[in-house]
Amino acid sequence: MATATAIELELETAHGAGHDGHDDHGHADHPPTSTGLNSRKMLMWLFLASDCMFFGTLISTYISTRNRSIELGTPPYPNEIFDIPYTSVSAFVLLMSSLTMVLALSAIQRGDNRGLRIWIAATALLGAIFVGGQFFEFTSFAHEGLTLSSNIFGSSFYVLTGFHGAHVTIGVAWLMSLLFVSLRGGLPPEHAADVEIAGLYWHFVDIVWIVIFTLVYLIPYADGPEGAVEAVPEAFLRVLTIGERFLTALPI
Amino acid sequence: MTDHATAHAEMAPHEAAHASNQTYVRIAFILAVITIVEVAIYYLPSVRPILVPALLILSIAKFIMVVGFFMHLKFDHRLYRFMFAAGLVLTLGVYLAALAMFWTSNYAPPLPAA
Amino acid sequence: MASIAQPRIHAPALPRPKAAPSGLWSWLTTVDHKRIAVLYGVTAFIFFLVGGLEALLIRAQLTRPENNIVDAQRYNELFTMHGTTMIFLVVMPLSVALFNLVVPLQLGARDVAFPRLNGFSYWTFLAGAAILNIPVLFALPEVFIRIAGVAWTNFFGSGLLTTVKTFFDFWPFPWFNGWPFAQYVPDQGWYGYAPLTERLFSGREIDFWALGLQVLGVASMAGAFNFIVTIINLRAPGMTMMRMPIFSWATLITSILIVMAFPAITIALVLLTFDRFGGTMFYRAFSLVDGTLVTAGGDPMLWQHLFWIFGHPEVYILILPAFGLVSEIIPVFSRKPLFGYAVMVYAIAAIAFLGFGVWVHHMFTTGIGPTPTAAFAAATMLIAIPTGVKILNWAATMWGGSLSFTTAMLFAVGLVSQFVIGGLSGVMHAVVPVDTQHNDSYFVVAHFHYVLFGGSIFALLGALYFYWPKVFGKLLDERLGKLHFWLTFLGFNLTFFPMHFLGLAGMPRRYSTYSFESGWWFWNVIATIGALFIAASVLVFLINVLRTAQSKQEVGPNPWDAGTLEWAIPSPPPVYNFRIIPLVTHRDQLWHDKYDRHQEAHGRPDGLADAIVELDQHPERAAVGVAELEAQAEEGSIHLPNPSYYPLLCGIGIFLLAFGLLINNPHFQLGFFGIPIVSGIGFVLLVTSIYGWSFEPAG
Repeated sequence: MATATAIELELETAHGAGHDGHDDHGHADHPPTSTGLNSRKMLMWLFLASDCMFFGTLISTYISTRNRSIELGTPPYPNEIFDIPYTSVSAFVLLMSSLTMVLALSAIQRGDNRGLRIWIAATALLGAIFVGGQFFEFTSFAHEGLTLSSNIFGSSFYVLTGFHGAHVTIGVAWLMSLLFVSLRGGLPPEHAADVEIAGLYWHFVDIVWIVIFTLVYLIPYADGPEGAVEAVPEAFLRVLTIGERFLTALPI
Repeated sequence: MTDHATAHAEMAPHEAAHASNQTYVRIAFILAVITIVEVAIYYLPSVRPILVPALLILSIAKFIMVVGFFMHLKFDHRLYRFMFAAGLVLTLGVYLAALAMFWTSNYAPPLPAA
Repeated sequence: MASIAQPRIHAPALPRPKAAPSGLWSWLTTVDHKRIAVLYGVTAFIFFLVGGLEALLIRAQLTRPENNIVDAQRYNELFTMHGTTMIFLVVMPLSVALFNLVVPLQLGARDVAFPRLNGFSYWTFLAGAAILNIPVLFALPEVFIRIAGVAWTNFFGSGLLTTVKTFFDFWPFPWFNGWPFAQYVPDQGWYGYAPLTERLFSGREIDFWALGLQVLGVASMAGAFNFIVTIINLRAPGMTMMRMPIFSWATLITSILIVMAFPAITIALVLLTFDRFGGTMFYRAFSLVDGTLVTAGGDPMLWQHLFWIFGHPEVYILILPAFGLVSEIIPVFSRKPLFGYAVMVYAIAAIAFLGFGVWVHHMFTTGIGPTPTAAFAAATMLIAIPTGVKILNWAATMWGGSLSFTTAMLFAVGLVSQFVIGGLSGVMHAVVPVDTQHNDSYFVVAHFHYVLFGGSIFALLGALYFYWPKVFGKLLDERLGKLHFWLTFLGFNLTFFPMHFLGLAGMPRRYSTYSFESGWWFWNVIATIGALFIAASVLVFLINVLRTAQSKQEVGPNPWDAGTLEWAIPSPPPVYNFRIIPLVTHRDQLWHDKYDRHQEAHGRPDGLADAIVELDQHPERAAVGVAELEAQAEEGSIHLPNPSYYPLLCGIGIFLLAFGLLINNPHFQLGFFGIPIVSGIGFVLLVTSIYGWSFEPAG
């Protein structure tokens, strides 16, 4: 309760003026707002909503050209080049980094500084392993002849996963900064929001990889057996064809 | 002072509603299992006919669990839920429509005569 | 959103008197939303003059058939930069200037939610604008010298022309190719269709365009995030969403459009940049390999989709703030509350939402197939419904009102009438066969000038007259203002109405000239005369601004007797805006306080607005509970964010980062281990500033 009162005393100084970094350090984490919600956390959620559109654009670009390198006969093809076990481990590493991230948040909320540092360091380390893994994946793909300019698959694959890798890299830098601040004693429990917001970003990067792992790596390509790949587009096409028949049948 | 107190009182239930560490570990375990299942069915020939829908459902499940528990959206203010869901739904709507148009169009015109 | 159960007067704190900060440094480091508004406004107006000059050159070239004032290349550059400038550097930043100025004041807030991010938006915007316009800065003088040379030759023979040409031949700085950057003006049209932007068909100018837009996108998104959070979180106590002034609603929805639409163009430009530098083939159907064409697998349609997924919401980003402004102006000068407030809010939201589902109507002629065409045509027609509702509500607001046609009101009513014309030709384009007929003709040019000039620009000019006293404490001259309006109105219709005829007669967009036989000469002459009227109107406005600046008038807080909170505080507002954060009980709070007959019954003998003003000007005379407030206020002062130089440094960093990439060519290579030095400095500056920003001590 003592901490709560202290926060409220700090809160007293501000209303209506800005809530950004100016009062992040030494002032309040939850200044009084119309909704009672933290402005910076809201900013992060809005950014993530907008980031959905970023990755949506990239993933759609990838999917729209998904089978083209195979259809055009421009190797190397995705199904020959992907190393699913390797990428599965990468995906697993990133997934587990989400767990360590949420444990870090839980630690700072309990006021457990040691736990906070350990879990943040673990998250940054797992993230770094993921980025390193991606670097080696890219290197070995390049070795097998897949480059940005070798075919349309290379173009869209590298730009999509590279963009995601850049997000993870920024996240790792962010976590390292938080770790540094915490080691200097700058992350008391009142600043849990700092960790929470970094965590939101981190988890978002993780869910993007969940989507990429399925849509890019696991769903088989055009020459896969039984044409499983066609299932989704074809369902769509069927709906569209029905729509088109309906339109042509109209007496107009 | 009063409004600070109310603001804080509003926060409190959310804080309390955050899941415990055991829940987080349990969720992570389920996520790991789903990932293993995903990779496993990728190699199982008998699952091939339903592979694509199965993978999509599994990854949606993972997505929802991370967003709901790790990002606390299940417990947090509904405004956050609305913001993120709106962004996601808009993205899905726009790009499913765009992809449908790609799948119906001829992307590779014949080469011009040399 | 339980903000109603708040105390009546919120956080009572009086400021310690602060010396008014001034000087260049105070502007460079400002985080005050009112100053940022002025910066945005002035910058945007300068670009309005630049874009207008480009438009005048276009009109000069088209005045007569087979004209040769500018060549085809320069003509392409002129229309590209005219469009890009007017959209991204005029209408958007002028809207943002008004967001900055009005929204925190309307909400009863002391600043935006993230004041430094706000400064960052401006400096980044300036960086993007500079990148786009550096080539123009060098090319425009060349164009004018050339025109002067041609005129000279016509009258006096070829003497001077040779001299000018010789001057260019002896340009004394060998590391630049002649007149620096003048050959890098973007020339591909404002929507940069692939594959024209691919390396095979274009030069470095596309990089200036792509990077400039990319940087502008960062600025717009940073600003938009800021305004969404501000509007959701910093409303005065009691101001529920449905009590919020309609312009704040327009800002909120526009900002949502920005944050959801700009990612598409950002990625589209990233892919384009990779196509140009990374050897990818996103937009390239064919590649040239050893002299033969091979199928690459890329698709120019991808660019069109991504561009218009951004581009259509973008046109609502341009018009919705204008709708919001008109919805503020018309009630004030009709002396009636806005008719159908709730429906107006829903209409804005509906327009924005539908705006994401209509992008293919820009692509009807690409042969995209009957189903998409039918679906998107229907969705496009649907947008006419909420838009029609707004037109109706403005008319109904005026109906039976006590109208006074000030300049602001004239411009607002001008929007209502002119936008109807543009809107109707827009609905025509939803009809696919008609669209196919009109596509890329002057009919389309007429249509979008009626909605963007007759819509956005009219509203923004009206808003300048409306809010001028709030910013500068002086009223713009009404007689000159009315002259400004009528010249604009006349010139606008003379310029753009004939373009409907030209389009139907078959005149295509973007052709640098036309033949004598075409029969298009007459209407083109009329259009050019109209453009001169518009130019004259801008001159009148500038004279008005100068005369107003010299006048010694002082206006009170509420010269128009308007109803929203920004008019409760002095003009110009003090740096902290509101000495006491007001409690809001009604929409149009000031009108309620002043005119509502039942106020006595509610135990509020003095209107709140009057109380605020009174308190600011004569604290000793103010009524209820002020002694108490004063006593409490001794303990602290109003917390205001401190100025910061990190936003400026971030902007400079981004500029150097982008500009370094652009000048990294064989003629001007400053590299070190393969890293372009200028970009490297920019990157380091950016990262350092971000860290400095994050760890900047509390104000």
